[in-house]
Amino acid sequence: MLEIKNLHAEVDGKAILKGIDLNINKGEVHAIMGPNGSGKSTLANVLAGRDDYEVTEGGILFDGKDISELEPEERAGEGIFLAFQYPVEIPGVTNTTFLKEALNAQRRYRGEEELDGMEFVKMIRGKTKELGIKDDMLKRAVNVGFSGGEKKRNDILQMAVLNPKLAVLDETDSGLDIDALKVVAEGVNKLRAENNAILVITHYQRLLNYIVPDQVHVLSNGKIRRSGGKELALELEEKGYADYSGEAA
Amino acid sequence: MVTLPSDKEAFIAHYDQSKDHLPGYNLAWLNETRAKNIALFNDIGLPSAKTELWKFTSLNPLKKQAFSAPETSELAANDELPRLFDAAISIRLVFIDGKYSETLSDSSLPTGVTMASLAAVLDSGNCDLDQTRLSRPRAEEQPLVALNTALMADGYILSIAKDVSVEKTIEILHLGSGKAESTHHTRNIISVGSGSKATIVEHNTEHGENVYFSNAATDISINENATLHHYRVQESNKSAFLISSTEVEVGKGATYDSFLLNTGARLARSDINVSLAAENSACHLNGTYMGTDDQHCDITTRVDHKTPHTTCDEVIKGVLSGNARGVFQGKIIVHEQAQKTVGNQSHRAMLLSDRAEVDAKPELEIFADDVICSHGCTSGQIDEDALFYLRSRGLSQEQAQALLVNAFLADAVEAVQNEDLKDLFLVRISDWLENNPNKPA
Ligand SMILES: Nc1ncnc2c1ncn2[C@@H]1O[C@H](COP(=O)(O)OP(=O)(O)OP(=O)(O)O)[C@@H](O)[C@H]1O
Ligand SMILES: [Mg+2]
Repeated sequence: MLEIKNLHAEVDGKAILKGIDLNINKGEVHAIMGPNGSGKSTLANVLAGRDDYEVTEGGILFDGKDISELEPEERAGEGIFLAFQYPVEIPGVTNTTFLKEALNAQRRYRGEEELDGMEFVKMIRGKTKELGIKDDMLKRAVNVGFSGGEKKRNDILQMAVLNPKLAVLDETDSGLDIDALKVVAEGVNKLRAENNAILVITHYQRLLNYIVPDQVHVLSNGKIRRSGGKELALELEEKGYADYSGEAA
Repeated sequence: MVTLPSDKEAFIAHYDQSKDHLPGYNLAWLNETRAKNIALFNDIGLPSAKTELWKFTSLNPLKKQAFSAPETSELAANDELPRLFDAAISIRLVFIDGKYSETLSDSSLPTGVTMASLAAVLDSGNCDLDQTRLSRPRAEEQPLVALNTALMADGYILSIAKDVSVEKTIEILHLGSGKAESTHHTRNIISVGSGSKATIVEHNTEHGENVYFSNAATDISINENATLHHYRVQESNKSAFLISSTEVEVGKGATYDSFLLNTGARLARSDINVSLAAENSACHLNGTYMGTDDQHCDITTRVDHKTPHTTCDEVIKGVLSGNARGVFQGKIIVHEQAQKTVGNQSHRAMLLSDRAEVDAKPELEIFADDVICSHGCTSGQIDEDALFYLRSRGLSQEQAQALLVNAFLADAVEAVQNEDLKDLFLVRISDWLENNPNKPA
């Protein structure tokens, strides 16, 4: 589903991704771990199409289609979703308005019928219930005044509503209490299906107890230095990244 | 049809030609007032960048424009007049090219409300106009008001009796007929009796896209414990020059609540001066402006806190695209005896293009020591992180931008208490966003 080939990206002329190769098949969950500043969020943002990052080499195929020239909204329409490391506050725009506009924009993109108000409300009620999100949160402005954990949960709600083919979760677990972590993991596991794929970026092995990955990759200094099964996460937790940080930039 | 250029000499020549047939030309005191004011205007001239109050707004485009003398312009019978509110909840007074039209205005006024046209009052044999209402404090700072006083040809004199709560909104339509490049100097006087409440909405718009110059002056007095909600919807065409100066005297326990929405005019300059000279008097000076292409919008306010326990809050938000320019000047003066003053002011502008520009000048002059005053001015581009966040969820660049700008402006509209008005302003904002697609930066 996702094929990243020799991906190089830079920001303000500074090389950050230095040749990433990564394949994720339908139905798989992959985890990326790595030290601070190694390029994990950069990779996530490049996948979502943020234009501050310039792809200088290599490319990204999604469902066999080259998406490197697509706008962020087109990638969303194709089915890519990024849960942000730092979800953004949008004053004055309520969660409901935002979710409805986003969902319908994606449906239009895919040539699907838009949901009307009633259908939307029914659908969203179900999702908030599943994720243990209070309905009054829907009436509030997107992420404004939300606690760190609430913001993360709100991103997961968006994911549940938008039902993407590929979800990239950038440190969605950081700042979550143990109950919230389980709720978020459940939400992610619900999405987990034959036709979907998930890329989890995390610093903690703990999350991977709940969302069990098929593969774990170590990203360091802009490159994937090692890949392995879920036991690699345990090893990293024990030994840290010392073995992988040796390469000079 | 006489064509007039519009530098100082032209206006003076216009005065010389018309002084013998302006309304009230047979009133000695009025002729004297007019003569005094044209002399003052002659001394000062049109405001220029050299004057502090006009540092950011140049009248050069106006000076280059030729206008014809105002003509009587009745509309064709089938011309539809814009109306903001349903007749069930409003009464509408109509001014065409600055002249009151009795036939087009609603005839029955709510109880406790009287309205007369300035021209009718001045021409009525026994004119009972309070002359003091025509003189301004700091007249020497206001040459355009002097010009208005010298040339005023019509306007409204609106009085609300004591202790009435006027349910219906008083809608005043200032319509350009689209027939002539005219100039008009209207003078309006509003008095709100003690304990009363009223809502006045002024609507500037027109038929057609022709140039005109409206130089209005409005003098308002609000008596004890009264409240005046004064809203303005300024959506003149993008060739018009729309200049107005409003002077407000707020009585004890009274409130002046103002909201200005400006989307129109080539050049719009709105001065609002409020004097809080009685205890517990308050004012709200809120507004939003939106500009595009070569539009210029200037909001200049001055609030004088003269006695203890007076309050003022001011929230102005603007959005500019294309080559548009915005100006905000907000002066708050807390006089020495005005202890316990509360004054909060904020102006925020969002620039949607690299060529759009905003100048903001907040000025706090505080001579009392026990006051709570704050001001904040910010201007900047749209938040890129927010834009990306929205786009990453599927919204197009345009949709995301519209959503953010809309939220930014709608926040200022929150201050409007009247739900009908609030809705109206919100619709105007979303219409603007729809009709003014982002100009490339
Ligand atoms: N806009 C930018 N301008 C300059 N440098 C940037 C910019 N964005 C990212 N970087 C740099 O790129 C490198 C990778 O950042 P990135 O956010 O991808 O790291 P990360 O692996 O997600 O780290 P963390 O674990 O702390 O979240 C860092 O050194 C960062 O400072
Ligand atoms: Mg990161």
